[in-house]
Amino acid sequence: MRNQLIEKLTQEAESDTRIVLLTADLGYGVVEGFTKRHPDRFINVGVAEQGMIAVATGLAHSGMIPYCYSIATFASLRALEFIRNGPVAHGLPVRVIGIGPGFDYENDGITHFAVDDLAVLRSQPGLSIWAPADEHEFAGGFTLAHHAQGPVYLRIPRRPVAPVLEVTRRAGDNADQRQVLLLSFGDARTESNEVMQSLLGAGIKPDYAEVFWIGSHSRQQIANLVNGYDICVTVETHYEAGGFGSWVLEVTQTLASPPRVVVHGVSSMPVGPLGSRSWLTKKHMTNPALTVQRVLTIASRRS
Amino acid sequence: MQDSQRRAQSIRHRILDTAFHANKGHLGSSLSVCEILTALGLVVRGFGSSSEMRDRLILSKGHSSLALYCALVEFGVHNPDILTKYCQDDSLLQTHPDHELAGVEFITGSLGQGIGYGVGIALAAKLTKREFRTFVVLSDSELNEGSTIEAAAIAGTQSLSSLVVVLDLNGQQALGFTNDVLRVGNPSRTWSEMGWDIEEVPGHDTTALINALRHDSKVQQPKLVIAHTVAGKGVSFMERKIEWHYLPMTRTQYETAIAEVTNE
Repeated sequence: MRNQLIEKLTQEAESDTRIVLLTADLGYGVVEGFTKRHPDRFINVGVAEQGMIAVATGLAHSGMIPYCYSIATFASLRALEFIRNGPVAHGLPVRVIGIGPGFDYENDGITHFAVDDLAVLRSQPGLSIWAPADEHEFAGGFTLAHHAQGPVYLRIPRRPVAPVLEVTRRAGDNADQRQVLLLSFGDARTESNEVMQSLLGAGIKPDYAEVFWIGSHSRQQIANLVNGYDICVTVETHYEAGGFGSWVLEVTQTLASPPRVVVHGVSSMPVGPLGSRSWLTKKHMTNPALTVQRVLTIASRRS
Repeated sequence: MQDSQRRAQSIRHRILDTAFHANKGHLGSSLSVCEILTALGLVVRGFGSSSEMRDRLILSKGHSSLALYCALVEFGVHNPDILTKYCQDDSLLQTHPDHELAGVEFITGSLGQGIGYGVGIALAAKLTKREFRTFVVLSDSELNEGSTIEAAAIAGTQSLSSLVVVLDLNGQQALGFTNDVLRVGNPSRTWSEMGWDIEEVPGHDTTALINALRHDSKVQQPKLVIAHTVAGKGVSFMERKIEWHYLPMTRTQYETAIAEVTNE
């Protein structure tokens, strides 16, 4: 995905001379295509994430569209106040590229785990979050992200994400039987599949949908998507608190009969022993059996 | 007294008037930049305008916003009446600047951010071959911020020759004298090593400041003008006093201060 992003930027920069690619000294083996093609518009600011966002703010103020590349935690958390006071406060089109959502950097540890980036960034007015999971979603959403007036945070997977789940029930297919909706956010397909299988195993047949945007422009879409369901299960590679599930919970409160929201995400702080992405997921994300239990409990109270 | 020095003194007078009537502080840091802002008002092309080709001025030390408002009035960008709105409800004139006010490019107030914005603007000018220059007024307390050093290093590495930073070296910050609070080294040496052209000037001499701010096209480096200033300049009981970073004036203090500035 990150290679595709840089290839796309390299291509777009041929005609859109506003594009500048900044990096905080990351992207080895990824950014070289852009560097060779547009050397004057590639700036390695060094290991200086705050400086990168501040410089991008000035660039955007002068009519450029800067893309700021780093690992997701550094791009979002390290530079947060600069994102807030710069592109957010001034409504400028800075693009913050955060590579590696959730446990993508597996053995690298909590310093590299983007499990709280959504919580801090989705609070910022006018900032949109885009989390494409695959080439198809990337190709379809790039234009919207590139041309957005305000800042955009691009939450880009470091490694390939599982293919779209093969499900028989999709959101909206069964208008008369809207009971449980499973909403997968961004790169969380593997985790969503685990939850799906657990629900099916318990005799629950949820509808399924994927979401890739968090922002003011997509609030109504989410409200329409979940409207009428009894229960909405959200799955994300982020802490249970403050992320996609919390956003869905907030958005749906405006509905006349909001669904109950069950959030499936990172449930404990990933410090201590480490392992692969799948090992970290099992150890630190909500146990799918617990999510099923929560759904069953709510369903039993509603019946 | 030269006209430019008279303008600086007029700004100083307006600062005292406005701060007293609003019962606000941040006086020491505002009084130290009166000559710097006067020089900028005379050197910055399109000072306070929204022209695309204007030079950009960024007050990175946003806590001196009152001095900027008074300079904008002094140079006719705003009517003097606007100062009566300082710190009033529904007013753009608060203790840190807002970009919705004509003459303000960026919201500042969190130290160490404005200089990075300036670096970005100068970089955009270089990339798009536009001729305007970018000026940043930096507090010496901002040398504490790592982000200031990040921005300075980026500007030096990128040889942003259209960028000029004026360092208001008054030697004080909120809780003490800068050399006591944090040892950041000699900026003349450290910034030179990062690729900056350095010039040191007496920071209350408008002629020296104007000469330093003028562009030298032969130099392909960003420029750091180190302006040696005095916090609270012009009011004897405020000069080099830490407490005048925050304190508002009593009426007696105000009257004394005005008398000193008027008789200067």
